Amino acid sequence: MKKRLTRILSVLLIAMLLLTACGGGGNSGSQTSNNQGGNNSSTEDKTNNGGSEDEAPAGDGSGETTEKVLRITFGDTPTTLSPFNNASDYELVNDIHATLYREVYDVETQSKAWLPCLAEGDPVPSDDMLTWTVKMHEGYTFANGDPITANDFAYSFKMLNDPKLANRNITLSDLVNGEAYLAGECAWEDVGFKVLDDYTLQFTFEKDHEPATVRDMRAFFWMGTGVIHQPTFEATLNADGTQSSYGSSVDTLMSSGLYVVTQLIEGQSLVLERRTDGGAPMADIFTPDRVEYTAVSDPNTVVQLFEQGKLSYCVANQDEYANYSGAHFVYTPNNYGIFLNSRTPSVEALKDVNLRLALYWGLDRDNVVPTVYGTAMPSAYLYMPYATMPDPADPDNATIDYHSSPEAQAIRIDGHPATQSGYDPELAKEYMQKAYENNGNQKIAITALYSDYNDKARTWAEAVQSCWNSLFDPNMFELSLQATANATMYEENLARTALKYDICIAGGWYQDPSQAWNNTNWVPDDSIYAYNSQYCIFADDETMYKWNELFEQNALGDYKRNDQGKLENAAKMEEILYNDCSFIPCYSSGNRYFFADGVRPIVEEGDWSLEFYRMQTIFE
Amino acid sequence: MNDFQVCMENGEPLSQELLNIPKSELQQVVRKEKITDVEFKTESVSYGKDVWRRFIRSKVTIVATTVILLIVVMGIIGPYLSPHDYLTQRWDLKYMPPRIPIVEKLGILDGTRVLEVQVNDVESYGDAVVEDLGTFETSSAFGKGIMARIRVNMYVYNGVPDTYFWFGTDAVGRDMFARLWQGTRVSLILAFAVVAINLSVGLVVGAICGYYGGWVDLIIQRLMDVVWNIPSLPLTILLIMLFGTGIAPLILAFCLTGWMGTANGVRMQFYRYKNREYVLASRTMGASDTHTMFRHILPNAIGTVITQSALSVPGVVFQEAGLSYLGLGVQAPNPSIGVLLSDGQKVLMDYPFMIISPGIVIVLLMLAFNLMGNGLRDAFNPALRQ
Amino acid sequence: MLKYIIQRIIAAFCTFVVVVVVVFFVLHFMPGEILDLSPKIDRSVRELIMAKYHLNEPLIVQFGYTMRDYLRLDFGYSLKVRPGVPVMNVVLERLPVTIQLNYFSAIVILPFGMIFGILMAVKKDTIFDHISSTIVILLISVPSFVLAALMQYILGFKLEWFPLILEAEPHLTWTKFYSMIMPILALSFGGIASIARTLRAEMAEVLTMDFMMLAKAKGLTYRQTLLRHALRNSCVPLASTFLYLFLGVLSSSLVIEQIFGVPGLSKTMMAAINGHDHWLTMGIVIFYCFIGLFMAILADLSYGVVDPRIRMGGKKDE
Repeated sequence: MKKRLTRILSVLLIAMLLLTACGGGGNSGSQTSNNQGGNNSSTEDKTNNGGSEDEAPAGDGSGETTEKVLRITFGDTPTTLSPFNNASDYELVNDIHATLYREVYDVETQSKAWLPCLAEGDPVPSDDMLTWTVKMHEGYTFANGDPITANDFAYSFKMLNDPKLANRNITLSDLVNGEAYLAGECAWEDVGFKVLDDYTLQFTFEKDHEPATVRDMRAFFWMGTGVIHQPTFEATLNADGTQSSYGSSVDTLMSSGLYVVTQLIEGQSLVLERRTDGGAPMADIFTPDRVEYTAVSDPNTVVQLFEQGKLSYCVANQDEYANYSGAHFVYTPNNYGIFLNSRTPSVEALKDVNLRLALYWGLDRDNVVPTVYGTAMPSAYLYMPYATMPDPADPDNATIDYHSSPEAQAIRIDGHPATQSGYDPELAKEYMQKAYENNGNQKIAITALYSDYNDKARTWAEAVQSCWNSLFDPNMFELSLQATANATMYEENLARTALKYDICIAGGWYQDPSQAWNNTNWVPDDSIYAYNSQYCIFADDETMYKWNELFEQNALGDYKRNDQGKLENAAKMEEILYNDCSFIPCYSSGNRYFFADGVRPIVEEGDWSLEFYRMQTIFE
Repeated sequence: MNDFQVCMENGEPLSQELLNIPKSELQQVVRKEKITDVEFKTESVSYGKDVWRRFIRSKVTIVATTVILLIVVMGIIGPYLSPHDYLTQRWDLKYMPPRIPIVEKLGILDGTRVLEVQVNDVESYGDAVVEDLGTFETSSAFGKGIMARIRVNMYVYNGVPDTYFWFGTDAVGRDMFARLWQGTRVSLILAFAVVAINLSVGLVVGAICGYYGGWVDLIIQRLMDVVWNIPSLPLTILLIMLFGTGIAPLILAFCLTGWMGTANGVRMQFYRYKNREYVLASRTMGASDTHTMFRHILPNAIGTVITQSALSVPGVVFQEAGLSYLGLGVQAPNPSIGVLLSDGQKVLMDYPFMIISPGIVIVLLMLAFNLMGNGLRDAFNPALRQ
Repeated sequence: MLKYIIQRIIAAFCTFVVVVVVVFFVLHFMPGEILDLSPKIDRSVRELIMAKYHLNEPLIVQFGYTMRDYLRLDFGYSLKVRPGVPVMNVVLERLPVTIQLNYFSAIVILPFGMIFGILMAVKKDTIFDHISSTIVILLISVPSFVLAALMQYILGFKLEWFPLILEAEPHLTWTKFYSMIMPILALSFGGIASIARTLRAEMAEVLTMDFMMLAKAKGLTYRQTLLRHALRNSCVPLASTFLYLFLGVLSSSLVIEQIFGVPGLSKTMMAAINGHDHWLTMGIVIFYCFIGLFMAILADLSYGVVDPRIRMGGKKDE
């Protein structure tokens, strides 16, 4: 009996070992001879070296001997490094896969700009702006030495838009016959894309979808158009050409950019190393020799790692770091706030604009927001506080601060000027009184949805609830909370097709700071050119169509290239939104960054899309 | 039988004399008084009473039970004991350290925190500085320099020298004392509800399976297998996605597989006892199935089942804590022990008091329920019956 | 015996199939769209992708496609969590570290749990028992996320004895093992405590049984009675506890994975569920289910080994 027990146990153990071995891919015991002390100290040496390199004074200026290592964390390793399917790590993917143009910080103009990467000079438009020619720089190569030519771009572009692969990042719809090709109605040759010679490409756009400026054309070459290596890609295709595992491991990708992947441990770490073969673009712009990414999702762990000197920079949003000096901030251009469903069947009172305005003015953003999100920027503006518009007085596309423009200053919310703090308790109570009376002197009780994805989101909902419930007379108004799963909230509750909420205390959207009016949550249907997430609805159709007219004028019509008209329309649109008051803006989220000694960001305040241009970090 | 011989104590055969005593010389030994059996001095004890007696015999068990009762009572009245309400937020008083009147004189729980500030900033704390703990040099990645370590009375610093938050305040300035007991209440309600449902469902299903056996058993067992083999975490997440968070979905999630343990235990007991003679006898005498099941077999299983249930109460509190950490806990603004713990974990390094009070309660709950469970187990163990 | 095993395997297979079907429908009835493509994407592209994954067709047809693929042992491709990578590869690439961690922690759990359990049972109601019971309960009563965070803060950050997070090395080296110690310990405490507790309870009960008296009466030493009879009998319920412990640890280390940056399977599973990557979720759930059923059969068999009274294949009722 005892023997059988032992036997079964040993079979179990062997099974486990086998499983371990299978997955581990031959973990040999070669390392076992190392003793603990030796190995341990070697790790420490490594980190110490790193630290001293960072701190070493740049005596010989160029720093040829010291390796510039950037050590940072990310939430998880990228889902894929393939430019075709990655949905979030744009910069990282482009460090490996070069595009024709790349958005970086331009030291000359002291601003963000799309600089030529694989391209040579500007794209050249035809007179009608429909056909654009791009010249590629000669002499760039893949990491294995193969030259990068227009044909390589063409192959990448074709694979990106291959209907069988059905990639996430397909970029074809604006080109002539693009839609038709995707629908299988025409051949690839009929698409508005041609290789003119080994280093020249030509793109032809559908009318009304053409880029308005040279900058817009450069921006056409976003992450998805990163150049991949044909033989490597073909090796990763499955038999029927419907799936490709390109970019899922070190062996399944080939670098066309400045950095090669030398290590990728799924879920743990990623190491990029700078190419030294001279065939890579942008070598004079990007600084690090080596970038080590570590996947850590716990914010406390990140800060601990940073304090131990194992990171070049970190995000420390915890309250305790509020007073530390040397913090850098990045505000993201999302406008977070509260959705009010003015057409909900369950709460009649929400149809009354007085209630909505009472809630708008009754939210003490300057206190609630910092309490919950210490690093966010409170704002009651519908367009984020740092929104800009093209300067009508300046043809060279300089920008002005939107909120200080006279047009924006003239905006009135039911007779009151809009401010960034947007808090007026007396006014709020007045509106509430009216709403209460309009509700037949019945108490207004509403249940608000909130998202349960983390403790901050919960605390935020609690703080908003507390703010309103303590301001308004409990006999007139009471808010209660109902949690909902974040993963399904948008589609199930908020979407225009569902609208299953009365009030939702979790939500918001991205706004492009340079065209904040282009937040199309209110567009009546999705037939329109602009994309929209449609989580909000106007209280009445008349207002909606009035707003939409202005929107179309700005986006597609007469004002497409009329900056003054655009600015006026933008202000009118914001005013309409304020007075409709179906969305209560609250804050733009922000992150607090700290940089280690010897590492300095190229800009003081980070940019919303490129943070601190991490590949241009300055090593001292 | 033939070999049978009556002997003297020393082994010698009885003498003829003794064997042949004339009948007349024999006398019946009957006393004048009526002889009856000696009456038992002790009363007859039912099983339940016996269990109870053994249960209260152990001091540890009594202490454990008292602690549980105390926590339950605090769960009921605790939130009202504090001068502060568990919902009122004081945004100017975030993360205030615990401060209790009288105790503060002893130098603990006096509303002070040790702060590390730049030497120049010390003055800005003014009167609030209780103690200067000297300066030290830092060289963390956050910067280098001389820092001063001072003990600051946060209540004085925030201009509320007469306010007392016994267990401190949380991230939005709510009273932790009130929240702790409110959280205990929510967690206990959840746990008791889950255990009650598991117990009743488990008992019935287990009894049916064990008693009837055959294909009924087979089908139920297979169904249980299916539910049992869907990993619980995704199942819970999916349930919460479907129904939203809150106490009801949580109860559902915990009960979905929770009753199976009880059911299996009961089923085993039924298997074991259903063919015993006394059960057969009861059946022969025409007792209904239900009567046999619940009157004759169940009492054998009840001890184990009750013990299991007692042990699973803190388990539910514990599981809820795990889900809270993943953001799947109870509905805001209600706290639960799990919510408090996971909130505390986020600020573990800087405000340890946030995790200590709910930590103590959950530890006490676990400890008390386990010790009580052990006591119950011993009490129900028939081998220990006296 | 063989017949019994075959019966069990057939039953397990049926369960497996039902689980797969149930999980498929539960997942596809979940609210939320499978494709969370940015609204910026044109409708034509959306249609293209929907058509590729048969998302436009009725659920039952989708089910047919999925089952057809499963019959060919093709578990599909991950859609969002690891785009383009076969589901089985995703599971396999995450598996080693999860298994290593569980394997090591099981090695820690088993001896310690048993030693504590036996000692506590033998010294029942002494001061040793009370103290170690308290410690054991303390260990189980502190949630793992608190314990793990505390360990990381004290042992890793303050004392710098261990690295804060798992060392990023492709293979199991000494450095990596060293960095695994903290997560292993964090995983083990609960297991040690629960094994010790179960064993103590079982053994305490067994020790009061009549056959123990008999064993003593027939002249066995205390140690012999303890190991031969008491332990053997207490192990009956423990066999399954231990096996399920493996499974439990396998699926519930999400918290520890998050804190110590371990690239385990739970993290992927969460991402798959939240991202509606149904193929991957299915793959992982199927995998867990398979392991679970396998363990259940093993547990059943092990009963026969450790408990002399249970024989396989006999008539069920008598």
